[in-house]
Amino acid sequence: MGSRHLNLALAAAGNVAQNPRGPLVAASGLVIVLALLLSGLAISEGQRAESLAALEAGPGVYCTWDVFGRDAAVPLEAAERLASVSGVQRLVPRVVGRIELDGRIATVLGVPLSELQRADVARMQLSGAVPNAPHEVLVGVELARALGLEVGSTLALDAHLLRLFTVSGITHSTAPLWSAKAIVCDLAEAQQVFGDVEHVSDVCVYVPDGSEGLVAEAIQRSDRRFRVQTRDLVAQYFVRGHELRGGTFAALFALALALAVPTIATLSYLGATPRRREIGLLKAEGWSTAEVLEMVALESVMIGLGVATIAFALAVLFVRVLGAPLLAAYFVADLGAFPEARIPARFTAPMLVAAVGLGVTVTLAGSLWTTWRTARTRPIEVLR
Amino acid sequence: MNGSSPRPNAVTLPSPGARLLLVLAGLVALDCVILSSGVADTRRRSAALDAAVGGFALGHALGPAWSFHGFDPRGVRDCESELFPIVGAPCCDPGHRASRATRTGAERP
Repeated sequence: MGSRHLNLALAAAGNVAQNPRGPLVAASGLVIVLALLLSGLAISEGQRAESLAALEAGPGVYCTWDVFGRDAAVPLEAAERLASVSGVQRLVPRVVGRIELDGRIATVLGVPLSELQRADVARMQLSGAVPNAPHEVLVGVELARALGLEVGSTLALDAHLLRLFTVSGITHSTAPLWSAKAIVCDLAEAQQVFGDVEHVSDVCVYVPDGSEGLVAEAIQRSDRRFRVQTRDLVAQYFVRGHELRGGTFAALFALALALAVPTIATLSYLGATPRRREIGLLKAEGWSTAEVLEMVALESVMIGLGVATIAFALAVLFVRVLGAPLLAAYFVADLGAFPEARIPARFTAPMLVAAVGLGVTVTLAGSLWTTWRTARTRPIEVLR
Repeated sequence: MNGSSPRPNAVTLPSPGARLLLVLAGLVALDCVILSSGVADTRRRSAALDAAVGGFALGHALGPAWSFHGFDPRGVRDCESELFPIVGAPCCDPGHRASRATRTGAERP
């Protein structure tokens, strides 16, 4: 019994190997669609994992300000009052601003120098050093490339005031993606540049693990104008948005895969004349319809397996070596078609299994119907 | 010399079908190696810079060219692009409709 299936498998492999033209045409289109789908899913998964890891590295509570029901900068005196709230361990005020540099929009992120200096510099993935003095800044890799900046270059930031800075470090392409077009500097310097020393954009509130909800409630009770977000809440809306974006992408490619089914069916039909003769001969030799169908199904499984494994390897090559040109811009706006920064991606074993499943399903769905119709016809009519 | 007898030390090539099965096995093995070697995981290994600045940028954009909401929704609840150029018109931010961070109207932190 087992040897019959093995013989059918060998016959199916022989058929595919000896008549590769038809399967190759159908499979090559499927490989491209599947490789792009896998690349997109891997980028989506990589971004999700990386963003959640970054969220874990941050504080438990974020505070901004509310004026007339709209977001506003936090007054510095209100931010300082947060230190007296029970459970607050440490406060890090930040300034996040937008500035134009040589026709490009860059993000200026001001944090106290002490926060940068206490960080694990060896693991920060940058050339040079973190800012050690108020006149020093850290520049993202994409921005540095666009502006021709190197460590030691002078950079002018001009918003309310024009101030000159020295580039102390440039992030690597493997650093967090947000840093690619950002400038990190001292909090007081950022306030000076934007001309507002009385406010900060938001405040990071570090609290003991597990007490985020309680501290958030205490802050809200201390002043209703605080807009308070816990790490869990941020993670919740991040995951929701992420799933929406990944889902839209997958839906588009599901449509492309669905279109592949009639394409393969059409190709099977067009190449059916020699195949009909072959099936007719097999039936005349005494093969049953089930055996013919099993052999064709095994052919489809082999083609699907080949398609999926090649698509997986190509997808890794596309993302890892080429940096997912064009596709990455779908997931990260403003990135550019050929980014310098490395795109976070994560290919997993379930993705490979799903790719094999999809490849086999599409090829099976496309070939079984035409084969079944031929195999049910009397051999004498097929061979006539 | 008898033409039908095989030459000594001749290597018999497997049939085309068997060769195809070997190629498929090789492809599966290649993918397994890619998965196990870590090549397929291009996430960064350190969140040190995030830790230094308090975590940043969960939005769909790499910068606040359109809005800070698209860059980091922690700081800004609403998309400023929705107010431009006609108030109430559909948002012109190309990434807004499928942001990486989205909220429903039910929450108001």
